[in-house]
Amino acid sequence: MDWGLILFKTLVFPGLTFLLLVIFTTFYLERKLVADMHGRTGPYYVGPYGIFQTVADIFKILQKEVIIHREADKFLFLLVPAVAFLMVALVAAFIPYDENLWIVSTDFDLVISLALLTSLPAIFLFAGWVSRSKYPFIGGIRVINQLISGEIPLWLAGLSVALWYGTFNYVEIVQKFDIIGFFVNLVGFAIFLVAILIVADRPPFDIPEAEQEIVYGFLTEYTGVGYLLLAGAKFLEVFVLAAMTVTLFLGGFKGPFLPGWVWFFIKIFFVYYLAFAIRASTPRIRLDQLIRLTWKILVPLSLLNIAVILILKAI
Amino acid sequence: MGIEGLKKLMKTYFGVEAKEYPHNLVAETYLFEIEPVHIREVAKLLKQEGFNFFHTLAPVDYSPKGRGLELNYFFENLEEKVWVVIRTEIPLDNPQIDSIHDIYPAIEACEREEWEKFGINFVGHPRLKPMLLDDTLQGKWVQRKSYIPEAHRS
Amino acid sequence: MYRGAQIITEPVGREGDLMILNWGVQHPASGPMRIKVWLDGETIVKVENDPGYVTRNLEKLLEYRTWENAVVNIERICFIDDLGTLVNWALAVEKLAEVEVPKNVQYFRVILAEVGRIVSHLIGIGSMFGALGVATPMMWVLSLREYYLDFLEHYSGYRISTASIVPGGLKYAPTKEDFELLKKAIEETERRWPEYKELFRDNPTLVERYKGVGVIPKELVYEMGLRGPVARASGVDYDVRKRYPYSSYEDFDFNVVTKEDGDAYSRFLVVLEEVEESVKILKQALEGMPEGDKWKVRMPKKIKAGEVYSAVEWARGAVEYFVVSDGGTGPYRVKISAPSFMNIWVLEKIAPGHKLADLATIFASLYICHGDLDR
Repeated sequence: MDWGLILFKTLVFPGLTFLLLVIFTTFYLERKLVADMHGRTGPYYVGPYGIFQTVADIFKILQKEVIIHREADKFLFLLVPAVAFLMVALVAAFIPYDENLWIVSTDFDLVISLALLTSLPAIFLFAGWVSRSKYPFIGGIRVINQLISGEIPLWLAGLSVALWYGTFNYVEIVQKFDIIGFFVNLVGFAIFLVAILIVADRPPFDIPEAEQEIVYGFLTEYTGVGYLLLAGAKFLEVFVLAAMTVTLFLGGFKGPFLPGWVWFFIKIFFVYYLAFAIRASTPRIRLDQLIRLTWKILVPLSLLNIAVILILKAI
Repeated sequence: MGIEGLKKLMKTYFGVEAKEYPHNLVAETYLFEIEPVHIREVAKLLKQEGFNFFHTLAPVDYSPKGRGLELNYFFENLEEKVWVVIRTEIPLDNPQIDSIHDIYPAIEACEREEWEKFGINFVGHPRLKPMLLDDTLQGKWVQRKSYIPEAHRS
Repeated sequence: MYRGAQIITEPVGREGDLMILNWGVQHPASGPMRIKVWLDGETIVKVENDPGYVTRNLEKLLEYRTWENAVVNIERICFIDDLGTLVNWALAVEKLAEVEVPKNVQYFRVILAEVGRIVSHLIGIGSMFGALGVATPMMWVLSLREYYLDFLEHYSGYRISTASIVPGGLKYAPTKEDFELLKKAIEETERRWPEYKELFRDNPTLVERYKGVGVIPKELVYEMGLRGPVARASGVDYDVRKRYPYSSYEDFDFNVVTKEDGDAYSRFLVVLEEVEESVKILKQALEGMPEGDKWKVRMPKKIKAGEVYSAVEWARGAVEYFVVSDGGTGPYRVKISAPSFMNIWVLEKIAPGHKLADLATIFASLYICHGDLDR
């Protein structure tokens, strides 16, 4: 085993440094694309096309004083952002950017990714709880409500893919991907897309951090590094979920002519663009409406989807 | 019902004649000058005669002119498009009048505001506590003519 | 010694099983106002308004102004639509001084007042979407608003707070380019409006969030003395422009937009459709603009003792002044009765029973401007 290569992969590409780059890029892309939909210009002055605006902003946030609320549990308050970031970054280790471009590949990629993602509601609840403040607390409770109802369709839709291809390994799933598999999993794809918006708190499901209702949810009391880590964790979560969508439903790195990783990023950009367009056009819904949507429509639909796939598989 | 009925009732109960009020730019208006003690009965009469829309409570401090505090209540009859001004005067050294918030709920906030600015004690008002003004201005009755902003600047 | 705005002294936190939430002063959706919310889980049990964070006490300040330079304070009742309040002040003082302004001045005042209404309503539409966390409509309506602000800027030199309407006429004579700019703004509105209307009105999530929320029955409108779009959304066709025409409004053909349901969605629709009516009035005023180049009538420096009550339909409802003169160079007393101050108190009656998330939508649909709430 080549330890040098593994170290390079973990720390540089596609590891930690690359993930930080992903945060910068997606943040910039989101601002620029949403601004375009608004009829604005977006970042413009710092660097060519304003690409360094996000860098400047992130360094501005880093310089901010870390304020800890008097009543807050100091140790947990500082620990939670780091844990959240770590949990999401771990999921990124399983993503295959190309046939041989991944950090870890096991027989249980999908299950491990989903399990790691399931830890997030608890972490975010803790973030709200240890802040000892009212708005973060309400935000934390909302996270639990929302993410649990969002994760069940996510799990079911993800597992239906594994059922069809007969494996949990991402690379194998991508290699087995074909046009029949795409159409069979189309319903699962739709459910998965909605579920990742719910799980990643993306608009119109940004209920736990609804600005106009509860300020910034569990992020309200965080400043400086803590805020950056938590917000970064959320950006990474979107990236990880988009990467999972691409891998499971859109054939990951598969594609003609171009190298695999280029295809991977083209497809991930498609998912991102969809998320941004939804953000720019759809008002936020209410928590009870969301729970009705997940438990009355998404969960039954994904169970039905699994049943159909089982039948198709048997034929 | 309506303004005719109100004129008649005001005459019989309180001996108050309706006066033309030409100063209202928007609509036909009648003025009734009443005693402050009668405000609750008058308000009930108004409600009964269909003057169901409350507009404004406008106190004017006439103390530099040698008079007291004049209170103007503006009501409108939405069906007849007729307005009524109820005018009464209370002394400035003991500004006290009954609250009519239970008859016209819309007046509650207005009475609270005038209490804060003029120091008029609306008897029976449930919420006479600071609303608009800064803590430093409470109890100074800023809207009275005796209050000079320059003298209180810190 | 200045001790800051009202210091919150009473204990906050919990009351039995209820959580007390300070929804405001420093909150993205509240504006400079505190709303104390008693919460049972996510359900609102009780609501208490605490305004007063932007009080300037304009009524007192006005007593130190002359009749003409009082416009500076009058237009600061609310910066979003300052023109309607100026029209009212001009009407009141002209009535006191017994001065008549020529027809062309009245028409141009109508134009300015309607531009103010459109500018205000566009922001209102944007912020009703903003309460749901989507900024696109706000950006779109703001870009449309720029055309009207260009007109105001070219006419008066200021984009907002124009101080252009004074007792006795207008501060500046409008030029040909002003009318060209206004025509351009109207054309742009008519070009964009069908698309905007379709996108805004039929947005399914907006309908889901606004429909049936914060219902104000007709009786409550009378009881609480509600005004403007809030009253009209509950089926009360109270519009001063139509009911008691002033400043030549009787010459124009327009509808009073009313809705029957009285929920937040109706209030949104009323604001949305009133923009169309305002554009209609603007076009008629531009077409029927009377000849005349006298834009200001001589006003006396001192106005004889007397009193006047005047009301105009402003963007947020009827704004009413009670002005007393004692024969001096300025008002003896001005009472400003503002629509937001009357409308805000209904929140305490309709909010309980809703979810916390609905507080933002109900508050936005009440179309409050904090400037005229506190004055």
